[in-house]
Amino acid sequence: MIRLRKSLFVLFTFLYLIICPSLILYSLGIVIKPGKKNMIKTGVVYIATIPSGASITVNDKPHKDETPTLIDNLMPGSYHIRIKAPGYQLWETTLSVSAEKATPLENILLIKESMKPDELSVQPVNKLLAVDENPFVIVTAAENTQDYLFHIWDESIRQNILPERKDENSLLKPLFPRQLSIPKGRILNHFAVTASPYLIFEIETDFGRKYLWTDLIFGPSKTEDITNLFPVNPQSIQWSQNDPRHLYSLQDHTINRLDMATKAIYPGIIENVENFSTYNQIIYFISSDKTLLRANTNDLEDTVQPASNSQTFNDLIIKQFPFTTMWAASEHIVFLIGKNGTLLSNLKPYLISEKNIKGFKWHKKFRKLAFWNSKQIGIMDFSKKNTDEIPTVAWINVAFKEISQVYWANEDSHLLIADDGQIYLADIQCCETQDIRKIVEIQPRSNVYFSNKTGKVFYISKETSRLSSLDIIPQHTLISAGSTEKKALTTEEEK
Amino acid sequence: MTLAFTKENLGAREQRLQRLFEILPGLTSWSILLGMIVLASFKPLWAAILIIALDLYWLFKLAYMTIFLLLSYFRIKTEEDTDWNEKIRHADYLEDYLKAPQKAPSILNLGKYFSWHRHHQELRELKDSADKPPASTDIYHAIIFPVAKENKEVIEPGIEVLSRQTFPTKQILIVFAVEERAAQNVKDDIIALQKAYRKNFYDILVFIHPDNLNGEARVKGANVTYAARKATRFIAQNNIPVEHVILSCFDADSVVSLNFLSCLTYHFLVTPDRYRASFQPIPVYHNNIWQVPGFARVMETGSSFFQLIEATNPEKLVTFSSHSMSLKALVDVDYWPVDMISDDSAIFWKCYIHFNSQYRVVPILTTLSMDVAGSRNWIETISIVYKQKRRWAWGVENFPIVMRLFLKNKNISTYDKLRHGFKLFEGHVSWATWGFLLSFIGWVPAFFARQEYMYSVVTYNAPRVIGVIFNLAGLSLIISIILSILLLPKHERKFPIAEKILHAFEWCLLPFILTFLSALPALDAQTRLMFGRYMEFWVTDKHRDVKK
Repeated sequence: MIRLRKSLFVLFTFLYLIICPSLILYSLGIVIKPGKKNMIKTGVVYIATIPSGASITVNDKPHKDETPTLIDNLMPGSYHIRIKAPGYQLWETTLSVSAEKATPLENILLIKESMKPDELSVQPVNKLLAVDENPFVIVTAAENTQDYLFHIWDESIRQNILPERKDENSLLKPLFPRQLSIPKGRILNHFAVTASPYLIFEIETDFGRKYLWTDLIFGPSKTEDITNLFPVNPQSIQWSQNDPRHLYSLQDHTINRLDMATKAIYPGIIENVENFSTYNQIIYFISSDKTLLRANTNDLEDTVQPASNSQTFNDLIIKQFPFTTMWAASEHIVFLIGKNGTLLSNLKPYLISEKNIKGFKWHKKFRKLAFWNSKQIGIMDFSKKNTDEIPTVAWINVAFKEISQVYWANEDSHLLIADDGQIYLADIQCCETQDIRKIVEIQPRSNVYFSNKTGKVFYISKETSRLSSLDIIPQHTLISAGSTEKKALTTEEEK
Repeated sequence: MTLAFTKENLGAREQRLQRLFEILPGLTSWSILLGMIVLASFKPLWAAILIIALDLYWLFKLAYMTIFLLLSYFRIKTEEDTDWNEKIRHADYLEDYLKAPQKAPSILNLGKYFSWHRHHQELRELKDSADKPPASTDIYHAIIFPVAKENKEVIEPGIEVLSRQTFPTKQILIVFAVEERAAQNVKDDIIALQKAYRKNFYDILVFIHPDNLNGEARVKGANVTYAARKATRFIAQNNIPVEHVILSCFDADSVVSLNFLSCLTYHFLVTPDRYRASFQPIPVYHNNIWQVPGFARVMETGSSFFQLIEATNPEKLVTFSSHSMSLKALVDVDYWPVDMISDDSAIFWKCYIHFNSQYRVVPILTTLSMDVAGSRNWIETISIVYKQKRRWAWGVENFPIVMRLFLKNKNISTYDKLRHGFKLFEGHVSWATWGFLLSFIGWVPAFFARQEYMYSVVTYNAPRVIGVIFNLAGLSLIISIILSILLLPKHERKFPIAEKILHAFEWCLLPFILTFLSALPALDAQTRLMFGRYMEFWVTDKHRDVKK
């Protein structure tokens, strides 16, 4: 037994001394090719597709494995990659591989060769209200409160919370059922907060402006006329998803706090305000003296302080005043669009784009910003931990005609773009040229809504004028939007 | 020169040496763990490469150990139905037996074939040896059961099996070493057992070990030493030579197989330098294995496997838990250390140094069953198992004493000192670090590399390589699971197959066990030793359902 132990020990030691360096060299991408004296440094390409199981060709040679896969031992140089799955469009790109470097193509979304939309409305509609990160879309064919309909796209909410409201014939429900005595009029504006089930509508009626508060998840019986809370027409209404009982309204340069339970108004909690935005307990506001301030709503008197100590940023605030849009993306980040469409942030580089910006979308989880003017979309990555590294803008090198909306899709690898009656999907994750594909035609000047949770885009079909939806990302590949949201919140809170 | 195997009453230089060697294992373990985290933070790619090398080393070690686990298992299984009394007769009538014509079993029956050849080789070596053994009829077994808080239900099964041994029971002397601080009902139980079983044995002696004797710590070694001294006097009064007595120091819950003492006697007889050897059975933890939570079952099966593997390496084998030795050797070295918790391993080191390395441990091919530490309650069991493993890991207290005495002893070769010193050191450091490295810290470089070196080849290749290593390690795990099921005792449950399948799934808890119930208590023990916070003996709680 002792002799056997010693023999095996010698054998295992010998094998270890051979295998260990080979494995380490392989891990570093260094290979020894037969017939060549020197070791060669190689690179790898990692490819993962949605759906998985697609076949790959590299420089017209088929790769042995289907996606997801790692193509290793690639000599430095340029490679043409083609990916094809049955029933899906061909995806191809040319990329360069460097020695000891990896090129990850982790979220390649394969688009079906033929996509069949689901029609959600029987009747034609002409207007879609997109309520971001809430589980419903609102549509109407006419400008009257009683003509508005809504569709809960979240299957779990539809199945579990509203069983008594199931209707076999239609997936659309009246926003304000006739049995409720809701004033007739035209919806001028709606106010919503991310992940809050509540909505406030500003309605123009024969008797003046009305404000309706409603909860679309638990039913229209929760609808209330809260006009009395607004003696002056508010410029903006917001609340925190953590505390929907308290609304904040901006009226006559004053922020008022409104208690929904007692209908009490606490006027003038902050005065001389031009714009404001809240996130959890934090309220950002621009004072009349053109300063961006930040305060905690639990202790407004003692916590007011400048949102940034940067003189550059504060000078920009003065220069770009007034602002058309202000949005707190987290407790520490706020974005503003100035008078000429200038996009600012309290994060470096402060001035993101000088003019003509029409909108922006923030990706909480990946800390990325997509912003757009009519023709172009820019992307900025704020995820770098190193604060000395100032993010730069990466522009999508395709000229659009009239961009109206942009959504992040498939984590941070794609953008869904509404442009001049078309929906496009842009793969922005890699390579020398972005892959941008036309998805579907929509009614001109109508809104679209993309749900990251279901991977569906909702739009008004150009062909039928009906509310329709199209599966962009297969359902089984999606990560729970709730968990993504929570993760993002946790990350922010940890800071 | 007699070298005192103790950390007490040392001179200034020796005290400094003692402290240095006390600090070394803990410092090394912490340096490995923290060093890996620091390296992973600042140089994740270097750390990833180091982890590949370590994981591969671990895979090779695992494969190596699995081979010997299998061999050891098959040897135990082969010898399960061996008639050890017949083999004893062969040793007693050595000349006649070897002269008679012998027929070896067919090589097709591989186990029996090798067993037969091993037996004949042992007999031939005995014949050539100058040191002839006493006749088996002159051999006496003295078995010490230390008792602190174990009640009759825990002790009696072991006594009952001893009373039915295939070896003549009138040549067995039972010694109960009872702590004075034991509860009265425990003492009453012992007296009751003495009365009930005395007639079956040569005798049953009960010695009450007084508390706080000068120079003693509150440790098991002090109790068994006190009883062994008294028993030696009794043996001398009965005119039994110490050379004829094999002394076994059992745990109170030890239950042996019916042929255990025959097997032990045979090994004692055929070992040429039998007064320079300890005899180590394979400890298994089957007494209450179906009465404790699953993770405790996996944990103790792992301990048994370790001993099975160690049994194939007698050159480096150290006594563990219940063990046996000649009374002569024990008297020569002045019994167990009375101020150390790990008396089981300490007695080997004490003998090894006292006899200038001319001492060894002979593995004996039979099992000895003990209780799994714990209760039916998971949380309580985790606490009990953790404390028990920390006590086992406190065996690291041997390292400073052994190393200090190695430096002083000029009669042991440098090779032997390095061989044993390194194994003792490496064994304890591995115990405290591998669980963390494999379960958690090994993945830290991948995490950091992912953040900072997303576009490096190693970021993609390293997890693949490590994945392949872990998949291959899975083969070893499957073998372990199969062996653990084969080793399990039969029990009177309604769905034995279902329970065995469940037991197989319990092995999924291995990462948790390796980290929190093996590596962590070992690191705890080493840290205590490093800071000079010496442990006291803590009697493990054992839970056994009472049969009604």
